[in-house]
Amino acid sequence: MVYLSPPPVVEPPLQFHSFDAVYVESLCEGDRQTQEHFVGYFSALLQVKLRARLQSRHAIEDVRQETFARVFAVLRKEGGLKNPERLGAFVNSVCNNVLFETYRSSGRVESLDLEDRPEPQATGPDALAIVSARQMSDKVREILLDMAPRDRFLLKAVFLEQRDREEVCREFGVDREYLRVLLHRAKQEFKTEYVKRHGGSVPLDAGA
Amino acid sequence: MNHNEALEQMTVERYLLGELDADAREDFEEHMFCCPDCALDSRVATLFIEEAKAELGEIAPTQPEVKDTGKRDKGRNRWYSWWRPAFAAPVFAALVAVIGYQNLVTFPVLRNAASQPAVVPVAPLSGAARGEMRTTVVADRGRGIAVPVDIPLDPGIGTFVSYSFELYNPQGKLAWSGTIPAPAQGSAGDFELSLVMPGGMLKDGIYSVSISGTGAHGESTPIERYAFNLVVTK
Repeated sequence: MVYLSPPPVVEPPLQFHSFDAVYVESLCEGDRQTQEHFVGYFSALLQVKLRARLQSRHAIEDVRQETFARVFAVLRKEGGLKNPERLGAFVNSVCNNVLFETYRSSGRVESLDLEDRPEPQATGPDALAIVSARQMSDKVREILLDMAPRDRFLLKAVFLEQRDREEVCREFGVDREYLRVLLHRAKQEFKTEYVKRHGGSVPLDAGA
Repeated sequence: MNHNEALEQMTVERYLLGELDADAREDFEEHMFCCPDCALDSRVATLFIEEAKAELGEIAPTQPEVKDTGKRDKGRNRWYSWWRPAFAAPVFAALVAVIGYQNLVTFPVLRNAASQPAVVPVAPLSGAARGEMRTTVVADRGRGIAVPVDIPLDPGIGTFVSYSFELYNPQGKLAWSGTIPAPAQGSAGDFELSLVMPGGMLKDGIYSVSISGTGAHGESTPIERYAFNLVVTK
């Protein structure tokens, strides 16, 4: 089974669900909407987590798939998850295990996903989603252009050129706190726009 | 880790900037997977970073990067900007003109003044100039003026190793100060001196001279104060 990652430009306005017994039960029963939410929500978080640890998209995708496979395998067992409210922590810990195995072995990790369940399908990007994605890009550009040139160069050196943070801070005559605050302010400004468009949801596109 | 701790410590930013050690990172990730607010923050910040990477590659730099590289580089560039031809050329031309004028005109005059005798009128000051009573003195701007200063060597006033002078201009600002060693002990009468004021520094108005004695341990004792009204001619 393949747990489809939604296409990059799609950002359905899914709200955060509280992970409780009802949610987990719906998930185990194969409720399509719940499964889509689960895969979308945690795909985004897994991407955030894995982007710093794995270099290739394929490796990230493999770990993501394997994590979902193992999570579903446990959930579908009798009495699989004892504390439904710990679903997030459980997904994280499964991902850690998969990551550990990936590090240890360069070979393919065998999937534990043996069941033949219908996979949650993601819809393709529609015109509205594409426009929305473009508007978010415009917002980022606007935020960057509003910054002092020095701050832009600082972000460029850190994120685009991926230079050593210490060296960059020394060169630009700032400390790490400055960089943190710069990112924080940009994030807050972007978040305002983001929440305005999508509500307080974590997007399904995982930036992959 | 709870949400407030994550907020206070800017953990989302630290996490995405790779500033957390392995334990703190795992701690935060566990929290992030359970906390919708931190999940949203992390995701939004990641989106911003990913989009910014694309945009920063496209945004043309408005000026060379080196010009915007922090305080240290800013200072360095400011310094280098002084050497731009548009600024440096006229400055160098002006400097050459000043140096030429000094070598051809000012220095010879000063050299002559320093090596040639000069006649300086002595201001007809009397005891009336002491204290607050003022005498009017007419001075020639070309030659300056010498002001007689008499310091009483009265052991009753004190025993000094040197005398200090302060000259105040008509604006009440200190125009000059100087020190002279005291005469050998046992000298009698007044210690008679002349304070020569060159013409270039003279202005119309009330000047005052304060004299104080400095003791062996550096203590200062006011001795005399002269004030006079100066009228400058030519």
